[in-house]
Amino acid sequence: MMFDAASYLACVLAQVLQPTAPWHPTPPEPQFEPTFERPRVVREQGPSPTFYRLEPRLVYGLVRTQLGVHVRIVPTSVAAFTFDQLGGVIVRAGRGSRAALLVEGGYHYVGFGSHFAVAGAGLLIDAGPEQSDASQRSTRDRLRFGVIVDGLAGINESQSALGLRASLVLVMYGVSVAVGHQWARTPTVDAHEAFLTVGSTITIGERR
Amino acid sequence: MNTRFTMVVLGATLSACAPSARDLVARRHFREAICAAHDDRDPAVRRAVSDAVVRDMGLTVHAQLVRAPLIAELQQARARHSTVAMLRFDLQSDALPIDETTVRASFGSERSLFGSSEPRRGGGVRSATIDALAAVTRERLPRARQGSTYLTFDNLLRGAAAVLTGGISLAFQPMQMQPATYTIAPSDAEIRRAAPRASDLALHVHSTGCTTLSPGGTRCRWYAIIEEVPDAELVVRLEVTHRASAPRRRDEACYLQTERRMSLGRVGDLERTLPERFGTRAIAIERVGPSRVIVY
Repeated sequence: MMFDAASYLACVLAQVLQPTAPWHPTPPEPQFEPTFERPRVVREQGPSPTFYRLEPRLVYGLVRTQLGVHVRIVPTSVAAFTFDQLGGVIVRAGRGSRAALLVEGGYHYVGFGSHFAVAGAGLLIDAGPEQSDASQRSTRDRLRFGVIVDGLAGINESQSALGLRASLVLVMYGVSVAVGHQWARTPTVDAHEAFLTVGSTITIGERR
Repeated sequence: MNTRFTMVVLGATLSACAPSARDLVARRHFREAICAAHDDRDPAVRRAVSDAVVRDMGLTVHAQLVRAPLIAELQQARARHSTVAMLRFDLQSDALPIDETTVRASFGSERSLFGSSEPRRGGGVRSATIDALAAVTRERLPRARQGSTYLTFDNLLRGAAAVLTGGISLAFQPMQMQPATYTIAPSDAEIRRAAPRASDLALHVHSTGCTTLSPGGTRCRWYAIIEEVPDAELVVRLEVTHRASAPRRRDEACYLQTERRMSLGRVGDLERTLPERFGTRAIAIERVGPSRVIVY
């Protein structure tokens, strides 16, 4: 114990009595300052274009879920619940383009006992406002219109059926509203239906 | 007629026209031009945009040797063995419509600036950091120390878990506190005490780095410390790297990096050649001499 205390005291004394060389800095001599021309301020000629600063990626994924109502117009007037689960690919026409091709496929259910496999394509147009500065986030795809035509194949009221449907889709901040017309032919009847659905449309791989 | 109408409509709606990099550069749309060059795989396009950007930057430079009593003393003491000098390098650029530009300079020495010989490893021309200065003054800098502490987030969590669970957590995780180690850099006072001469030299190194001028432009300054064996074949190598970048919507920023490598002259002749070459005014960087430009 005594030894430890002595060691500690010796260590403290060594720190306190450590010879420190006093530092007497030599004042630096003034350095020569060369003459520089006054710098120019170069400005862009005209408004700054935005093309190459747009995202170069052209292909995205898409997942669309829609819930709503189908109203059968022909042969009888009746309404039913409908559900769509679709996936697809968006291919933009080019960098800076507001237009894109949509190819989608999935499952379509209507409460009339209809189960359809769906495959189709359409055209999407970004209608949101353009930002003037490329460094800002884009808002043009926050409002998007689409016209989509799908082919249908499946079962309608326990009969095999084929059909077509045309949709007008409006997407705002990921919320999609679709209205349109569907025609389905079975061996016994041609059914014409109008529909209104609401759901979500999520793009995959699209940076915001 | 219908075909033509269709083509016009398709052209207007399906794709936007891509401006050429040459037009963009001519109108000083450098941010767009940088992204165009960033995407283009053709080296000629990248080189053309880089040349235009650097040309409009109006880079002017000046180099001089710094006078200091300690430098003279060191030079006198080692007159037969080596050349000791401190070099100051100033650079100025004009203001361009580019979102972000960075300029840096590095120094070195080698036998042949553009030849095939390998640069000298640990060459005698280095940026004037305190380590480089201490190497020249033959002083040893204090080493960084390792410290340890038990005041860590993990230990706090262990303690909090033991308290909150009434000690039940100790059954699953014993209360073994683990210390965390960290590095303690030597203080300025310790450095001055251990290396007073290097600290003295460091007083001559000031305003290192770049500052923005008003109304625009950038002024940069770097220092190098030179200790080189007297060898007529060795030249001081200066590399000025310029990086211009432009943010890209929804993606990583585009950039264009240009490295210009040039010679400031033979080590033993700097006392004579630097005043001859630079005089009292800054000169265009192209006038420094032959240079090799690499565009990344």
